[in-house]
Amino acid sequence: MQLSTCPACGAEIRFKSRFSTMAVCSFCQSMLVRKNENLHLQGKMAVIAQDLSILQVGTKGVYKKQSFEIIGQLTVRWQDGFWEEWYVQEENGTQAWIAQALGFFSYTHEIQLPDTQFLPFIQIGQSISLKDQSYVVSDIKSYIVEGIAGELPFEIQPGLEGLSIDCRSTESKCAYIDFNQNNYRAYAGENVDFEALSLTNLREIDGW
Amino acid sequence: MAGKFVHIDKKMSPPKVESLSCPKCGGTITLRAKGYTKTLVCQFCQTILDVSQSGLNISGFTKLNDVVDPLIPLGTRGKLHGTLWEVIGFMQRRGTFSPFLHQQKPPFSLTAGGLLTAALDIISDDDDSDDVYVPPPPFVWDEYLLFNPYKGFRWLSECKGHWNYIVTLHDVPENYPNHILRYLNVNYRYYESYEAKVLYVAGEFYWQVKSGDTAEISDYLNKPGILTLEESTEKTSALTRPQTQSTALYIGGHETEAGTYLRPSPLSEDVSPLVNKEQMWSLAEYIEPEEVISAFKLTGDFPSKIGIAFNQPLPDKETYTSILKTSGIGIAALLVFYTIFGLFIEPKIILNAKFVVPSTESHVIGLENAMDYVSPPFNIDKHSGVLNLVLQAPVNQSWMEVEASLINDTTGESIEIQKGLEYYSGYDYDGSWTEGKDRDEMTFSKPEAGQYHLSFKITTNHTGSLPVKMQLIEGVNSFSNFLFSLLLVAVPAILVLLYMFLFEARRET
Repeated sequence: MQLSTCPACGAEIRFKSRFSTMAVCSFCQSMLVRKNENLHLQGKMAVIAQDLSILQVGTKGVYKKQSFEIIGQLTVRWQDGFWEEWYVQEENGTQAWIAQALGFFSYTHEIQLPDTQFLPFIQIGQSISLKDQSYVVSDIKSYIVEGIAGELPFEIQPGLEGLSIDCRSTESKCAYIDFNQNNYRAYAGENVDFEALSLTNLREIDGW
Repeated sequence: MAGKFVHIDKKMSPPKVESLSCPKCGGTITLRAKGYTKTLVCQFCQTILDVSQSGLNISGFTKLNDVVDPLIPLGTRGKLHGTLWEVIGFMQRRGTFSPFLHQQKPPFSLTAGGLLTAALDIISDDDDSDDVYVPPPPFVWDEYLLFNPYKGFRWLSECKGHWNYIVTLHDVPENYPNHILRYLNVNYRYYESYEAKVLYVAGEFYWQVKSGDTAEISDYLNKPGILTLEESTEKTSALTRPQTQSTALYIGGHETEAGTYLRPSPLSEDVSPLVNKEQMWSLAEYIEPEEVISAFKLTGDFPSKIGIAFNQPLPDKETYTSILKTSGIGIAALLVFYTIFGLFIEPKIILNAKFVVPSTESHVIGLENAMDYVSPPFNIDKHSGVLNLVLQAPVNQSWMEVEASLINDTTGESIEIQKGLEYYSGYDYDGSWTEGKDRDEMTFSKPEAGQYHLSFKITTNHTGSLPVKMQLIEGVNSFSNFLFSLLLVAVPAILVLLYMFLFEARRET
């Protein structure tokens, strides 16, 4: 865990993951980028629109016997609404992602993409193979970054456009390929039920 | 950041159900699933609104002239499958069949239902029903969108009084030959395809809905479940393709100062709708209306069921299955019983005695003057079972009685048997009457195997000489008894099978 000070307001900033390259100061909402042991101010984050999402930064859970904590949030907006990507740190320091859409969660880890040349031509319904698992491309969504919170392993800010290629497979396996700032990143894992994650420290929702 | 970190949302109160103003009529609309809801319908003016960052935008109107009242009012909460759900959306759709959408149904399956359906097909008179597909008439159904922030969304659908509980799937089923899909180790057979059109919407939905939206639906059946594929026939939005530098030559995108510019690829116009179809898989399970009524604590009437739905399970299936099982066990038990007691064995006459009791002066032969008879030896074999004694003598206004001892020649053990015959007849004011019979039987369990003889005395009051026939028969042929008891045991099973047959016959084909 690395301790730093927010250059804007002086609040204590703690990075829980060694992979994190940026964070949002929880007190003054400044976006801070980590460079060479220093924190650089990148701008201010407006408050993320409230919704009925039950996860929050600080939510803990267990996945496949590994306990984890949500340490970052990335909310994106697309033509038909919003979805959240939650940056997760596992017990042993591994990073993972929980994607939340329509009450459905997927738990994935980043994987290496062997070849990205085919990706611009990819179409819905096409089969692709990632790390020995075959998937069918189910959706290609264009999005705009809406908000961030906590810490993240890449530099990103609201207003940036990106593309998300969703892939589905049998037995609840799923994958997605994210294209943002001219970079392709791929994540593979599976769909999980809310119960399967043994979540604690969830956000309170009035009436539920 | 634990301890010091306080998420910005925590500083504000938790989100409540939000009230919004309809841009068309100014009415107050409640938003129940904020953050998820994309389409919201004003309950006052039936305007369909698009929920966007900037607010509510009018995107259409629900088409039907009259307001449709959902059977479960919007906002009602109910507990189904252990979870509390809130009804937040309502949609009415119409399904239309066409030969173009229809796929070939796989041949009948080797299950009870499949064989029964095949049997019904043979019985019914349609000779050319195999070759020509006659599209069924269009039908209308209602869908209710259920929401729970921890569990996501589910659906309830109602069609002709039949209800289904539906889950949207996030993985895909496996393709098997003969239009069979496999999902979670269950096989679903292709059933039907139709086009669905949105007629009416109310409440909220998590995607953009417009009145008149169409989709192609295919149902795969394994009752009580239906696996459904829904493909939206609307072209997806223009923003579907990355226009990176490397692809600019191929697709024709261009860069702006802001970065890569996403614009529709010329390719997407030529591409057939198949490629950009959004696929949605869901799994439905038949649910009884009573369960829905009690879950949502509804009063009032639900529409009664019309016909039998194609995924409707046999009601009280467990009861009928247990009746069939019990009958099966009963029949098996009968078979075992009859086998053990040698009731299937061909009867063998081991003693056939014919003699004449001479007449006496006193007309009565009592024990003191009864004759001793001794039979020749005979063998009783090892099979377990019964022995039958048959006694026959033409008594008339008289009686006769046999007192016998069945004696084992080796061990000396004896079994005492007593049997009599009597026959009287007369005439009185009621008419003629008779009493008794001149032939009788007696069954007793077989003793140990071995050589035996029968020694007996006959007493009688018969006038004149009396010819007596006495037989000892090994194994009683009671096949008719067996059939009768079999029928008794099988009657419940026959009734159940008949009920099942008639139920299946009424099922929609």
